[in-house]
Amino acid sequence: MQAPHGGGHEAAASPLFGLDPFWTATALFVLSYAVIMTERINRAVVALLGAGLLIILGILPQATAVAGIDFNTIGLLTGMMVIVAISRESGVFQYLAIKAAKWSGGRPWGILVTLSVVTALLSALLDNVTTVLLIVPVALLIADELEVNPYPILLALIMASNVGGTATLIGDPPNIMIGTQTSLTFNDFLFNLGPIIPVIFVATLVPLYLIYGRHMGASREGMQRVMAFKENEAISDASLLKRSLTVISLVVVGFVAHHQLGLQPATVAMSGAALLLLLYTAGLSPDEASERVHSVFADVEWVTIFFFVGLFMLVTAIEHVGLLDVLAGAVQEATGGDFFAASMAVMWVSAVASAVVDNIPFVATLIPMIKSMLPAFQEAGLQGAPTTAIWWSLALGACLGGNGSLIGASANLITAGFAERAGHPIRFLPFLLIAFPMMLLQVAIATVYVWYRYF
Amino acid sequence: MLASDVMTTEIRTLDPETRVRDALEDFWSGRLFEAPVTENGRIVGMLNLRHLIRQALPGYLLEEEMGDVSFAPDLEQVARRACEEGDKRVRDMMLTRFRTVRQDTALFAVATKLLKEDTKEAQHVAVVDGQGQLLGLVSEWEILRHIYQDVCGRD
Repeated sequence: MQAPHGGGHEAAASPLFGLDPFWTATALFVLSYAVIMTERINRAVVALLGAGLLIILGILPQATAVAGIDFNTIGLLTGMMVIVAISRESGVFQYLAIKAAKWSGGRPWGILVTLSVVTALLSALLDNVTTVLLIVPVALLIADELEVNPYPILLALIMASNVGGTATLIGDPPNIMIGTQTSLTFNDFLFNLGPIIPVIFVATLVPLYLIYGRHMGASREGMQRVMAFKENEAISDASLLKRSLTVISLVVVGFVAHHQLGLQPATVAMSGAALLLLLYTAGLSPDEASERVHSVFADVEWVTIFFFVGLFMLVTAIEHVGLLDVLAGAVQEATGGDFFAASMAVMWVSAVASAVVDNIPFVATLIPMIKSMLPAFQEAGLQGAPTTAIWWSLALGACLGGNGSLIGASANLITAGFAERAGHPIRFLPFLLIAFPMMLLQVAIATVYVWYRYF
Repeated sequence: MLASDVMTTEIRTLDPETRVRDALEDFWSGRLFEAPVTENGRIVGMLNLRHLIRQALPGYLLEEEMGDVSFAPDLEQVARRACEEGDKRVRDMMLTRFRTVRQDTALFAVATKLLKEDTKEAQHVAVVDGQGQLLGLVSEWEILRHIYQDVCGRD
């Protein structure tokens, strides 16, 4: 099979051992994804090995592989990670969590709701993993002070982080990838996904109240202990707080206006990161400054970053050999060219797949597939819907799907890790029994929304 | 100088089957912070006060993301958990990761080990023979006392 992107001396790969490019790439791609799913080997290592092999075997030209790495995603993720690594030193996130808990008057259900709101809002602006990393320890402490079981609160925080993250371009990795690889802007995400997120959020809290909230009680002493938290003490560095909030505000303005300014979100995040690094180290001796910069960069989750790097090359490989076109054709045939059916299929398949496997590789594969399908759908007529309807379907399905099981999203696993170390382990099956039906409810609401708004 | 030159051999060892509450009686009377746990003369662990506190504290408090927790009022569970530890056996509460050296290890190497392997919470370096038999203990205290009393010139 001839590579559709072949041509030009640089891209003319000559496979070693006379390997068939199509089948070798397909086999290595499937194998890599399968090993990633087993979680027996670190996912970044698998992705990089798979991509490296494809290049070494001569299936994927090196230049094509490197061009396939989406710097927008990488830059946006790294930039935001740096900004968070610095600003969390100020204690601002603990402050917000405590403040929220006290708004509720110390009642357990109220705390569950207010902490969830803070988590959802922070998840919309930061990545979900960071948000739960910062909020969950405070939530565990509050539950201990109240002497209540933290399980319902943790469950709510997991859901809130995934639901909140769905609202913006930068909230969740699938959205970051969709946003950076299409021409959709920060505001497009906000105006199209933002309106339905509060509805889904409230719809998530109702069953949680019926199952747990009605029975959550705490002693008067426990509630008094929570009200005795001194949130101002949580701010460990007021001057850093000011610098962080200034840069975060600038970055948010940058995101909102990135389209008008002609800037990519990655540029905004990276410039914000560099500015905050400068402010963070201003006035220090060169040695101290360099040590701080080192420790901030050490906080960047390089496993995630290199996982993306490897994954983008793997996906580029199957695009290069034509597998993506074959898959896209199959989907097109299965939906009979019906754009609504295709959008719904994308949403529901992404949702269920995201509950079972990591949604990042899944979305990384779907984006170029959808791109190659769109012209045919446009030809067949879009039933009055904008082409973006399918992107919103993908975003809603992939992000909300993460709620479906304990392994559905990294934030879930991080929370489970904290809970385990605190002596309140979250087990896979009991979580699934509550979370999967709730995920179905959330996606059902998303379905009605997409149908009503776009078709 | 070698580890055997500075090590203390006046050691109170603990039996792994003792209750923690009883083992700690020695700590109070001798102002100890740590004592080695031996089985037939072989060292199997260290009972360490800091480690007991670490185990009484909820794990999330020590997570790096938690930062300074002075904003919170007292957490009564901590004292309760520490009391519960008293009823456990030394074997279940001791540190099992600790530093060991042989008696002929040079002093500078012992000192380096003390400063470098800070993932091992035990304060003392155990001096053992080839069979793991405990011969003595070394800490900063023994090292500097030996140097100041026997090495530095006196006025």
